[in-house]
Amino acid sequence: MCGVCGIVTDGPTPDRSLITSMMAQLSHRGPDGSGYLVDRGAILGQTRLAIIDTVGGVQPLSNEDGTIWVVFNGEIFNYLELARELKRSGHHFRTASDTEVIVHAWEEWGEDCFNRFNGQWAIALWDRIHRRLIMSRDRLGVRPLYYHLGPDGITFASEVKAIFTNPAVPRRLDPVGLDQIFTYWSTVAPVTPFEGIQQIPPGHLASYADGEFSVRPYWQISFPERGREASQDLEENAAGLRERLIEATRLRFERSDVPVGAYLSGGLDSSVTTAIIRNFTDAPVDTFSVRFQDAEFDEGYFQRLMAKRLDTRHQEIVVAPGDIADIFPEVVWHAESPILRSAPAPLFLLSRLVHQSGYKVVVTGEGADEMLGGYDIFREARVRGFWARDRNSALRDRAAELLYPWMARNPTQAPAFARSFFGMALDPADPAMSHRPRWNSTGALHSLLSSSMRARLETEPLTDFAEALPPDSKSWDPLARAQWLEMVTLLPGYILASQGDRMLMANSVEGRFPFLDHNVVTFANSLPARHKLFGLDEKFLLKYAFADLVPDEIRYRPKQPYRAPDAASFFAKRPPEWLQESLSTEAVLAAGVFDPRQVTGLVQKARQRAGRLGNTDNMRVLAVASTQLLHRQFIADDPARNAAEFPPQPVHIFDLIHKERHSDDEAH
Amino acid sequence: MTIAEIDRILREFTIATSSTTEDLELQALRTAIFVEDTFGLTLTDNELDASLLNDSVMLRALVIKMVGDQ
Repeated sequence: MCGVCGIVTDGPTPDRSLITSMMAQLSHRGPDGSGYLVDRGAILGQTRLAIIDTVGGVQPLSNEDGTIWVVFNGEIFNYLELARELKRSGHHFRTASDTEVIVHAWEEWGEDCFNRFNGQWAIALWDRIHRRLIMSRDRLGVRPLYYHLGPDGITFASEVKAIFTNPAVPRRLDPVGLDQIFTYWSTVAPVTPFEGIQQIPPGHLASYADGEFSVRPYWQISFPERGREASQDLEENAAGLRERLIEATRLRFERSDVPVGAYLSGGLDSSVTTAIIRNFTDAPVDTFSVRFQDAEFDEGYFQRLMAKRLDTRHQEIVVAPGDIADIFPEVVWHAESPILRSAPAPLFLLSRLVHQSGYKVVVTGEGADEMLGGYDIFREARVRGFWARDRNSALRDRAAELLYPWMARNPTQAPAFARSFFGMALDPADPAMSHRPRWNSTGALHSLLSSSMRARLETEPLTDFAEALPPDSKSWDPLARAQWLEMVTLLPGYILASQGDRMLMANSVEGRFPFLDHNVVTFANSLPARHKLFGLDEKFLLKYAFADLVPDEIRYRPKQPYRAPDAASFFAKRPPEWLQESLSTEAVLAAGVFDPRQVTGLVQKARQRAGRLGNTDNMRVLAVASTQLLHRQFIADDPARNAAEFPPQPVHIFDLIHKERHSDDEAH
Repeated sequence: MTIAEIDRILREFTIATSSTTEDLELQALRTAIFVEDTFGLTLTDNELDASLLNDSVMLRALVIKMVGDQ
């Protein structure tokens, strides 16, 4: 795991100070060293978190004759198998790194190489002969890759803050991006929260040459026609899932030259991955968990249950609301996006614990809910479909209690509440019926917008994301359509970004996600819907396939979505100074996103209730606080001022113009 | 869909619901959601009956009849 950056231009070769500034901004992603190359019209750089071939895998790295160079953030987990195949085809390797596989694979297979990679990546290849930049991102968006197209060329980087070190790149928030976040919870690639900054969509590759830029997919999420899935047999599918998940976990645990730890959340997914590590590898297992002072959010009992069962060396961090308030500005700095929940903050603290414990890599359970039907939104869609089939039924209302058992404690009120919320937008013909309640309730954030922001959005109305569903999705099971919407919006835009890559990389830790192994994903997508969500029983096949490794107490505990105290983190006690400054009328007017009177009213409400707010008001507080911070950190202030002065040492320099290689003395 | 396929799915259903502890009416609704979604059926309020849906023999007969009628 690392940071990548670069500039390719049709004009003069960029100054080296630009690339070293960009690399300095990416120090947290790669503190073990850095390197850059200089060619006519191109500079490419990388900051390194050394995990595979820690000595030999210096970047940038080239093929045999130096005509193809790569900077790479991520891991190609099947690199050993690919290297063997490429060597048999005549390629010569100088290192034992997965990075070198990329240049030889590009030589051998061209664009098809990305379909052969099993991993997580953001890759930039520089073809010296054709003077062409190729960028690629992994299939599901584990690793980020942003770019800015200017009049003379392209600037790219793992994080926006690095692109912003180029003074030629304007810094503005993008109303279209904000509109998406305030509806879908995240932007949808290529859109970002910043105007003029785009991101390579997951599963895509991009090309830049002679001033021409193009992007196209090399892989797409797909599902079979309902009723025509590859196998209907439970035992066969359970064995298939088990085999693939064990292999995916084993690869991610073993393909490392440094120790690998594991996250334990107390839920099913990380219990499965950690149990696989314990039962199918020989190494001792260090596990890490985040807990909460507030019992409403704490899962400590289940975390310790699993840690004890697996006899791991277990560490935990207990988070208080004040901790979240203290670090929230740093969280936004790393997330580079407005966020509607405080949930990334405890994960920042958890990865800091991992780093302080001497670990660079952890295996985690992200992705299972998307791939195997785990989210409440999928269950809610089932109940809503049940209501929609007979809206006049006197008996169907109670189905809401199957979703949320707490409703049984308010039997006269609960069905009415559930109907009013979940019963909205009940149109079975709507391919996005599963997501309308979320989109509509999140859309309430628009009531906070300033008049100028609203006016701007009227000129660029939000496209209904349901229109982005593939044409053949009409034949999919409704669960598959809902899964697709999650995999294209929340997964890459929030779960893997703000909560995943950013919070891990902030503390120089690489996350690895077995459930996002493309063999697991492809197999999961091929399953009949009932093997994922069996009636209302979520992740049915996962629970069935790993019944021997995960105790019933965890397999059958009610789903507890990972959450953290939201507005209560800021308002239970005296609000932190940064919040008071960020939400001041002056700051709100300066950012121009929100109406100051709306913000003042929201703050008063939050203070009066000590932050104990409903779901929508919690989202409002987080949206306003994070957007205001984002504006201050990236727009009002120059983000380059926060950067380290120098890139991580040692710095390896490849001057292709003068055909020289230097070490770090030249860097400063 | 053949009777053998229906039986296979209903066997899976007994595995999936083996751990539920709701009252009988909720169990029936859980079964109804599963039946409607998996077999593409719509049950009437008369058929949303715990004595019908919570009995494996009667459930099987109901599903076979309704699938056959489709």
